[in-house]
Amino acid sequence: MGDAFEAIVGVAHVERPARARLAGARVDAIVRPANALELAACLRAASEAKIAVVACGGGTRQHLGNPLDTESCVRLELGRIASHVDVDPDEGIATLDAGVRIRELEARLAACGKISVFSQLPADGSIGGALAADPFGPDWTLDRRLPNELLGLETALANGELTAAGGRVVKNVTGFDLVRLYCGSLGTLGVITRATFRLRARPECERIVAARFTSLEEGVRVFASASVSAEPAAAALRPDGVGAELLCRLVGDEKAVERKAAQLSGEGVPLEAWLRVRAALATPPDLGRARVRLSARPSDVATLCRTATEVAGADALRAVFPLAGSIVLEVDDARLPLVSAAAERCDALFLAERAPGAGPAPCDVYGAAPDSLALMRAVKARFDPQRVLAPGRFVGGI
Amino acid sequence: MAAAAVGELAQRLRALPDVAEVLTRPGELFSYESDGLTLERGMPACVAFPITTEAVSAIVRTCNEFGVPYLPRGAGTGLSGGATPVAGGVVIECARMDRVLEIDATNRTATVQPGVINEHLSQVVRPLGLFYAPDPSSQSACTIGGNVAENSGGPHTLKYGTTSPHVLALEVVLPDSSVVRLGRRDGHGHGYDLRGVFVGSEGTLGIVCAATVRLVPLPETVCTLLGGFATLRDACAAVSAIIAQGIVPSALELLDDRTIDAVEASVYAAGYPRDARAVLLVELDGVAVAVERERERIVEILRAQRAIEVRVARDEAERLALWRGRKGAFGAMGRLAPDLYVHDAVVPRTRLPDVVDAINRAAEARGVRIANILHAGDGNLHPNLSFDRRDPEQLRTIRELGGEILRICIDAGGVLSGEHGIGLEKRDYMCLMFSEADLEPMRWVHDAFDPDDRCNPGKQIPAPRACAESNPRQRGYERVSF
Repeated sequence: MGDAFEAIVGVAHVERPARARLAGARVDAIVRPANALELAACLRAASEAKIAVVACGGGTRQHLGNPLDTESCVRLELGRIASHVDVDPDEGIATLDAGVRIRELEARLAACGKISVFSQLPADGSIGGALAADPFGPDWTLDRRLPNELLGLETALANGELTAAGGRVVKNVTGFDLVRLYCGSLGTLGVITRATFRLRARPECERIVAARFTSLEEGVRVFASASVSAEPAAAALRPDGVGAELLCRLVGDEKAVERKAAQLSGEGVPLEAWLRVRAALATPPDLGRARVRLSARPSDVATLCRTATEVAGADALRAVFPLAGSIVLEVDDARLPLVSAAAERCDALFLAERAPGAGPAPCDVYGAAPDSLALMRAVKARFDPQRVLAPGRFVGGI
Repeated sequence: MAAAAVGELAQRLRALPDVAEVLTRPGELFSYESDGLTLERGMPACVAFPITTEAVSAIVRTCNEFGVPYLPRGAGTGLSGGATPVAGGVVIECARMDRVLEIDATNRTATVQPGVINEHLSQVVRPLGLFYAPDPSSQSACTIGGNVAENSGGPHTLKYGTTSPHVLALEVVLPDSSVVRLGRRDGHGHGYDLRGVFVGSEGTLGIVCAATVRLVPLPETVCTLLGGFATLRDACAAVSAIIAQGIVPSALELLDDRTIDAVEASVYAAGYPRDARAVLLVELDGVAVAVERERERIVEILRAQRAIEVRVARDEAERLALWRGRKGAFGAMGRLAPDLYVHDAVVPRTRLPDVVDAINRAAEARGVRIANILHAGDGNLHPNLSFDRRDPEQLRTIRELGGEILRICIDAGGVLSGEHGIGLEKRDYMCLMFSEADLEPMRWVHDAFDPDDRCNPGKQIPAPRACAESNPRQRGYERVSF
């Protein structure tokens, strides 16, 4: 089988590691296509030979998802698919190859006073990896989610076709919105090879305001009332043993930010405080441990905190994101089923991240299956009839 | 469908619980021949009015038993033929499913039945300091269910986005008559974003029976400005200059001279400058201190971009007057001819002046009267073609011109629709933008939802191989651009 990949990408770009593993499976080969057409050809070859493939961008999110349900796989690295970088500040859009690192994008955007939805993600990650994972971060809000900023995608499918979805304009309702379907699908429907997305003006002012509370509960309560008028862009509450610290990120017009800061009655702290919150969520947990996010409505976070404390202990709670309605805890792997069951009881969304190289998961890392799992399986069956695209990794073992 | 079979079907539908009414007489069905796109028509076998999700499910189950197609309909204000029953069958009229089921002011969401009128939702939540942001021009009549089906936009899409990012969860009757929830009311979710795919699927994947939508806080202040320009090109340059400054107005609406003339000669007269060849409406909203600074910057930009008149609405009455002209523009064009074809496409914003020039030339070459309204900040243009559908020659010319406009927009790097959808109107033009390979995943999605192709058949996605001759790769592109 390796010969088929070598014929597509050249011998020099196929590596056969001795003992590499990925998502619980043996890695038989690492294949590095030079461009999207080669990648698409690799997917066709994998489908024909029924070999599981896992796409890899920057490798920063490979720990996400369930283990593969195959013994072996081929790792497709997108690092060479990184030649196309088209930033158009006048039009307010950018089109990048999937293998481009976020660091490179950021450097280009800094030169023209722009930011993008990727600006809040780790610089080592790739555009394609971020799109496949659609990771949660402290800046997550309902209106600034990654898919909302995406305009178009080029995606290689399991049948070997390189396909377009969406467009290069900021408003578009042409056909089914496949862009949203592919984003966050963890490479189980196809491999994103190029993306067009919106650029935003760099805010005139960005400020982090901190406030301390004697308890997490007090912090949640005070924030709920203060945030109505202050409207921070993002907020995080973190317990620190003796109470909790609230960090609010304010952006926008300088005078408006000043006013919001006053409404929050906090003190300004360096931006690095917020960057540390971002970094903490982007780093995989240690072996044997899992990071769990429970999410519901913003008004439910106090209930989520109580539930988490009951099943995982008070020291498990790491952060509360009151605007998103999410809390993050860290627990031993073995406690995951308990936390998952508790989440289901209170209709919260459960999502666990485990350490790279962790063994078999004690439960589905996505928790209870959604109502629409049968439809999702039907979609998967049509996109990937041979089940070669990261089989088993996604929700419900898709 | 034979009359006897229609009679039996109608009888079965009338017997279902929570089906308020079933229409079968030709005179009653006449209103359901088309939506707002009157170029295409089709006669349904009957029209059923459910009032609950269970009733919708039962209607779909009955249609499946009879092997007849069906399609959902809201207010029928769509402009691409999405609710036109070209395949006959049953129209499932959702207008009487018009209850606001829940308002959650704390979490800023509302759950509504599909027949709730867009503007009504904003009126209901206004006392709570909230509003529903997507605002199609037809918002006083169109329904949330229809908005979900079409992924509708509106003038304020520039800041707030189209319908999709405002929809958190849907309760849907699938073509197998089962009821499924897509998305979550808290906006979180995992697994494939089927909610995202469903929004904008034009009633081809199932029927929305409830939607949980996001509400937005009412802005502290709103400011509307008017810029009058000697040329459309100057007005477009002003739009680009505003966005280049990092300002995100809530709306940037542009009207050309022919639209200004039509408005000012109508009951919607807004006092637009008659000597201007283009009028730009700029709306800012948000925190008062920020809006005040932005307003000053906008005035400077408009003047720097050679505006011949700059006006700032001094109070709410003046603000509403400026909008009256814009919102009434389509109605004002009704004076020009018996029929109006409201076209819709999007191009890169910086290409707007060239594209509008090309469209106007194409219209003039065919002797068609045209007036343009643009959501200029989004690059979304609405060329409005006046005609008389009773004249077959005019009808043919209008169809040809519609196709030519799409080709002009696609060649400029644009897309077929910004907010009206594909429906029947543009289905066969999908091949201008997408290859056969690009369309195949859409068919896979459709097949996963509706393997028997009974739910609003014949819309949005062209038949397989329809693009064999015209797809981009056949036209010599090595890679499909997107």
